[in-house]
Amino acid sequence: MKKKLLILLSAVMAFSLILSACGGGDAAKPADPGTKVETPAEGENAGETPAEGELVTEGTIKATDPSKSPANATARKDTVIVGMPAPSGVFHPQYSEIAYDVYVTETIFASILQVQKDGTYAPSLGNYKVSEDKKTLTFTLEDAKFSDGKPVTAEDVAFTFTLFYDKSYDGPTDAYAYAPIVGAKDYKEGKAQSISGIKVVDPKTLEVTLETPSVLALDVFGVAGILPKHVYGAAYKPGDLSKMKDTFTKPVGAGPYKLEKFVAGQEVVFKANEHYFKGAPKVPNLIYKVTTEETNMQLVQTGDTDGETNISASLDNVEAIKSLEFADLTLNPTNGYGYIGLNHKDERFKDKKVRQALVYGLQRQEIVDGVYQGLADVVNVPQSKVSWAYTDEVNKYDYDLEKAKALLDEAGWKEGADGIREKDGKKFKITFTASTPNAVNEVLIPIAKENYAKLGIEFVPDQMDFNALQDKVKKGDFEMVFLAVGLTPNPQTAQGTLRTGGNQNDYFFSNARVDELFKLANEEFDLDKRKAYYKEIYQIANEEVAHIYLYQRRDTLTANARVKGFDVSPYKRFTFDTPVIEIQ
Amino acid sequence: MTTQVIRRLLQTIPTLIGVSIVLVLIFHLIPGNFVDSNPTISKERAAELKEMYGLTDPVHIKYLKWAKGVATGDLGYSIQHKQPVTTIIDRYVWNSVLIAGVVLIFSWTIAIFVGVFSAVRQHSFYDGLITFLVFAVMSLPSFFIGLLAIKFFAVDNRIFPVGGMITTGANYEGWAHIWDVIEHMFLPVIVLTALNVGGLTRYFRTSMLDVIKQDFIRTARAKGLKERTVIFKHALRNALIPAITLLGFEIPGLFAGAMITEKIFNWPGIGSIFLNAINARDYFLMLGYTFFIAFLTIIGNVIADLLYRVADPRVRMK
Repeated sequence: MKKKLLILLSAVMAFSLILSACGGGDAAKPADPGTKVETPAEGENAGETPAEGELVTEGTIKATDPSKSPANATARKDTVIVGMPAPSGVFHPQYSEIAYDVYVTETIFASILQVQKDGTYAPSLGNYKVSEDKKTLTFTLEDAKFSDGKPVTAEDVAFTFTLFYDKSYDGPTDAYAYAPIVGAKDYKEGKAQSISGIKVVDPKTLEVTLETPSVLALDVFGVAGILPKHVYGAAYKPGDLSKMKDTFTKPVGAGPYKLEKFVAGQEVVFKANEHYFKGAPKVPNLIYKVTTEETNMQLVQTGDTDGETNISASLDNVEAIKSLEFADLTLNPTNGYGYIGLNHKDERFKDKKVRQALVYGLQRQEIVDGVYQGLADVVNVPQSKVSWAYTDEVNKYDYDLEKAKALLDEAGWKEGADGIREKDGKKFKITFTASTPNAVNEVLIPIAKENYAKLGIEFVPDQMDFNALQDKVKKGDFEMVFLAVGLTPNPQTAQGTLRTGGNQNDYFFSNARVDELFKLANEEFDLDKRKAYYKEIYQIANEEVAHIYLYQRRDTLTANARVKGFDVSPYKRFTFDTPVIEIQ
Repeated sequence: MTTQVIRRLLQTIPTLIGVSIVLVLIFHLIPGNFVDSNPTISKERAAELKEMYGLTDPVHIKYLKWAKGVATGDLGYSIQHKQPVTTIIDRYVWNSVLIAGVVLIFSWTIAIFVGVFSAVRQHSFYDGLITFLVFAVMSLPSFFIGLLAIKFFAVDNRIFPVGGMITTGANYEGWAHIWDVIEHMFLPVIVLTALNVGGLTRYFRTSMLDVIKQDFIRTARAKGLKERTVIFKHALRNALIPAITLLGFEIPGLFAGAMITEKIFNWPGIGSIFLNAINARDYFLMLGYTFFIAFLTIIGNVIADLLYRVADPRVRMK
């Protein structure tokens, strides 16, 4: 009896082991060889219309049969429910930092400018003008009211801007670096009662004077959610913003919706703001429901949610959403990119030819396809292809083993007896710092190891926890590392990574022309002129191999076809569509 | 008794101080911090923020500042949530307690009955069957079973909701709200109980077997007591004494949050908040919450010790 039981038990356990192996699904896992998927052939013909059965990797895949929408979703005539991971309850435009808090604040607050699909800013609650010397920005306001019915005035705007420069402000905006207002330092140090560079001209006009021209100021002032002074003023004492934190869950703004209820970890319930200056939203009730990656698709399927922002863009998920038939799926390039960082202080990487050889000799397309199954592009510049500043007039660095070898030869790295290249008696061995677990590294490491072995370079991965890796990179203690970075609508923020001594330039990349171009671009408000500057920057970054640029993957927005009007881009989030969406 | 309680509580103070020193030291050594993860701020601003949060202080200053706060019930400031740590714990922990409490009651009740049953019928077919079932359920991969349960009961047959704690957009009040929460608890409670009950059953079975073989049970039977009375009054009571220790350990578990309920069943508990805090290096939230759990563990031990005195006269004698 006992023996039999033992055998049975071990059989059950073995079975459950198999089960658990199936359970640990990772969205970004490489496709198993058995999947029959036609990825568009590399590069050139990606622009052609996809043939039947071919993978659509961008744009909106329309619902094939909207009538299949679940009954409980269809029954909600005046409510739209959008799923997303949990906001943390920081509903204050100057403090919200994680994306889901930002979603909430963007729904409740309005800003002077609003980001467009290509990352440019357009007038919204108002507009701006730049003075001749480009140091003074004049903001003008539309006729608008807060959700409590009181008008939006220049006083409110001045109040909002002032908060950024308070001594005790600990939100994520680095206002002084982006927008150095005259008098901000004195105010911060308590030497002045107000900021001299912020001047209310009349109830609809506000003037801001900067110490030096900075186009980044728009990223602070243009998109800041305007706070009503009559509501938030009581919570503000110069030098002490501690009371402001009690207002986080009681936000009042001039945005399309007002907060009705926040249940932590569950839902954020909104009611339409009847005073919204562009006209009251068409959907009276809006709810952001907290979902997790494990079940967010099921919630769309059962009709618990009408939309979902956070389904990861894997082939399996795309197929699953298509098979629902009632859901529109938008695939957008993620607002960021993955890259391999090189330590430019490393003697070997100081030689441009070596850096170029490392790009030519790496099968980037294979790596990217291996990880994202076609739902990502190889990139060659540090900019999103949907941005107004994007350029593709750069070297594509298609895989070319011979060229890579030749470049290394030219750089003086000669193949030794063991096949490893050496120069001045030193072997070419790269230590690759990699975070684990990481889906990209899982594919990248074996391919890079093989590719670089062919070049005569020994590639040794050193894997560690992400935070440990970040610490190493911050200290400059690395040779080569894989990381990904986010992008903002304003291309100027790339100065952090590319300018000499930039805050994110942990790679010691330095190029005098790039520094100069960033300075010129930051003092220029004309888009065409700026575009030329950025183009040159991207070309230099590409030619000089500031980083080995790898990929831009995809993000999704899933929406039940009964809700019409979502028109999103990597820059223009769905929150900007909340005033115009309609239920069919 | 009172003096013993007071003495036992006083004994916990050095332990707590020791634990807090170790925690601050460990978290001080962890690489990475919240401020550096913001890519848009300048180095000067990052330094300013770190200064503001007290992240640049040397470790002993850090400890003294934090300990001073703890003494007054302030566990620090969550950099990520921009709120006091106690506010954040209070916001989420009760949801975890609710579900863990219900699971605790169910799993203990079931485990006691099943354990006793299989101990009394040791080596019988039922014992074998129960052992088999218990091990089978225990060894099931929890995340997979959770998802499977959702597929069967929530997606294919809409018997239970997919997840969460309340029906979104329903705005129930009073009893309707309570029923709504109960409905959302069904699936997670069933799955968690199934996973917990296995280990406990083994525990009670072994403990019961020990007791049943003792002389006083034979005496009880010889006295002509009914089998029911022998088992439940004499044997079980004695078999449960070692379980007090186990119960003491369950106390911090109540407040710890279970990843499976939170990830799979989307229950708004403290577990994922804590995990996020670790990933984001939200220093004081990590520290505060870990200390809170350590505190509960120590208190759980004290309670177990004191309960022993109540339950077992032999301990009282010493």
